[in-house]
Amino acid sequence: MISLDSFDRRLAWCLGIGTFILFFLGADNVGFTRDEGYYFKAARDYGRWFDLLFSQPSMAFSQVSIDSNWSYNPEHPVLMKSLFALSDLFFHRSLGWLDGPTAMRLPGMGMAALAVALTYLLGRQMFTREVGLLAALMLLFSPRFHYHGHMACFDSAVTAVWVAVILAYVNRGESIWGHVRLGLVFGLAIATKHNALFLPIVFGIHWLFCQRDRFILAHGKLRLPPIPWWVVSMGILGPLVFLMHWPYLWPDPLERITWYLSFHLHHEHYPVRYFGEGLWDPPFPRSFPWVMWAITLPLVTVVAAIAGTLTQAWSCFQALWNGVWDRKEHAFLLLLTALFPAFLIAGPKVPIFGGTKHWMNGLPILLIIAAAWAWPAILKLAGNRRYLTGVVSAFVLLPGAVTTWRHHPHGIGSYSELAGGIRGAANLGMERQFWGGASRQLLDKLNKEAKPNARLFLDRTNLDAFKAYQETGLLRADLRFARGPSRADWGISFHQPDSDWVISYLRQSRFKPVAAVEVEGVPMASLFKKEP
Amino acid sequence: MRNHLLLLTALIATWALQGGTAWNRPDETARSRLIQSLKEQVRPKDEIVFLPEWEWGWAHRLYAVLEAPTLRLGREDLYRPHRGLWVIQGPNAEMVFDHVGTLETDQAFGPYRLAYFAGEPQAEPLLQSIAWGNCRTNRRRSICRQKQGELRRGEVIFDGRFAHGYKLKLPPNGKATLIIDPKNSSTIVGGIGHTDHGARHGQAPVQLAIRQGSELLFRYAYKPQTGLRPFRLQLDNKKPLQFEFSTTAPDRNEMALSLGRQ
Repeated sequence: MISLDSFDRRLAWCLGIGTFILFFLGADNVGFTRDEGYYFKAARDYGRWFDLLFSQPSMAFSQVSIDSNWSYNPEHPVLMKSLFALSDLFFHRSLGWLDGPTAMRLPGMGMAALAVALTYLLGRQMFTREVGLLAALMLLFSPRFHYHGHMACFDSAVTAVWVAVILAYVNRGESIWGHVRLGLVFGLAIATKHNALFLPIVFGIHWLFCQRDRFILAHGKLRLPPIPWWVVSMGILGPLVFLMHWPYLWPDPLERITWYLSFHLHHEHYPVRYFGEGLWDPPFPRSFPWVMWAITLPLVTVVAAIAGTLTQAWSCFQALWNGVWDRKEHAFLLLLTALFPAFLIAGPKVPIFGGTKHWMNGLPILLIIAAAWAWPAILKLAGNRRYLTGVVSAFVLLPGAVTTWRHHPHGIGSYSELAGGIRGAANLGMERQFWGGASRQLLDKLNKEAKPNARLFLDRTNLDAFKAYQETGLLRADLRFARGPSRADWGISFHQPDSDWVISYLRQSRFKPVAAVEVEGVPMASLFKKEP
Repeated sequence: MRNHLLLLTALIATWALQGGTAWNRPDETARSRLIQSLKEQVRPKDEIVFLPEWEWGWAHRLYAVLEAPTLRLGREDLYRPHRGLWVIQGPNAEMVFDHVGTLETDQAFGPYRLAYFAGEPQAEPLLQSIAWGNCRTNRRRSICRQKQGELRRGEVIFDGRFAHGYKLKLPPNGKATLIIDPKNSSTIVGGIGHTDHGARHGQAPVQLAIRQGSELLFRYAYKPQTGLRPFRLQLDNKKPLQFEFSTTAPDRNEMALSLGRQ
């Protein structure tokens, strides 16, 4: 492991701050998604509890207060939603610098920025400064990560904390503080999203690999190496932080945690369109996450990731073959932490909705692997000339940046070169919408043309997102939300499997198409107006 | 292969494809010219289809210029006969089909083609009248229900593809006999198959036997797969046709019929 110097820290800060500014400047056009609507509402509920905490601390901890303020959206832990609430409290309600929804998006952007900075640090520690930088920029210019980085959601956040826990794990050393830090960071990770619950399994597999020579079978008994301290720190501090951060759990921890875990173990399936076929129920194709990575990341990155994975796998094989025990086995750790999330989603019964976001936490590590392979090749290609090295690196990074730029603010439906871009993916019958954010670009037309008090049916854009648009002034306050298309004056249909019926209904019910949100001619959402 | 050569190859392929996709973007000026030209040429009974069918932006642009255009909804909707069909073909579209009629005009507007296919002036593009038991659909009546089954005229859905036609929900006994009167036509043309819902839930093939009087004209077992199979029935006489649907697994079977008379 290479230790970090002050230049590395400064560079990581620059990457983080640069990413944050970039996302902040681009956020205005990114529509509010369904889940953001729910989290805005949750943040406002939790914000009331923080108000109480600051004004009447003794009241805040009663069960009545906890249940009335923390019961909404118990499907997810509340670290991020609390940050949304505090950001709303601080930047909107106290300082008045931002509107509420934008203020609530800041923590998500901050976590995306953290993910980029931490990717640099991990790449730097595992390999070289250049590898770290290349990996961090590859992440920044991954179109779908770029999209999710704007959201008041948990996906960029769990990507950041996934890397943070790995950094804490590889830097824990022998010290008590190193282990305490690991336990605390893990606690924050599981307080962010349930993806992080799998980290102990990943580290456990890694530990088994590192300690493989210490398992001794003698007299029919298996002798195990001593249980490592990280198990203790993650096993005690992680759950403790998790429990402490979530007031909703306090009145009845066992039952409420059981409900939370059960919710995710039995999560419903939302349909996904995949090569022209609607995937509604399991079994789902095992290829799904791998193919999606291949057609949503820049082709050159995909090639580097495959070659890098094979290189790291070869290192692991050599370690096994030669019996070299360094007890760290970083190649194996990188492979595990990069690929485990995708392997998990590849299970035929695991829900696959949500594009690539549910295994995005593995992406930074995959990109470190890719960069570690690409950097020596870049040097060789540039003949070790500094100027040319920069040029070749730019050629490696720019396809992602160009695709991100071309598809923004609809990175949720971005496809890269291997699919033939976004038009090629539409031709292949791939999904390009699932979250209801694309209505944002139709609001101007509605504001101009809708009659006073007109009713809008917005399909996948839910009531909470509708309210957020009105709160930010993006949608006229007199317009009303219609729960179904039958009584609406205007209708929006998203181009996604569970909205086929909507577009079909609107076409057959006196509605006339008047506009569409398009990216390079590919529709994301269509607007219909009811004929008199 | 050496790593740097692999990287170089990947870079060349990436940038070539990136350039290709950038080249392929819509051309708004050409689009407007095409629509203007279409407006000048389209006749009242003509229909219009744009391909690729997912390029839905054409629809509102056409509606903005033409008075209530009659749209075909994509390639699944092209099996039916027509009286005149305008095909707008954009980049990424598959080639114009050979079964849509006789090509009369073909114009290029930047990356787009506007082709006109002559049809049969007497054709009935979508059957309006189908009988099921005592019920018969007509121009105004679009639904017939029988023993928890349903025949409904409207759009039928095939996982993001659409067609005008009939959705047939088979009743729990798994049997339905539809009567179609060929009138003076010699051909029934279109497509039959499972809707996406039907394909998802269908657990056994749906058999279709078509009889005219006692004569069996056609028999086919439709496996639960989304989409229409083209269908063309040449008739020698004018007796009513019986479309007999049956299946051994009747739960939630949903078929689509997109048929016209030629």
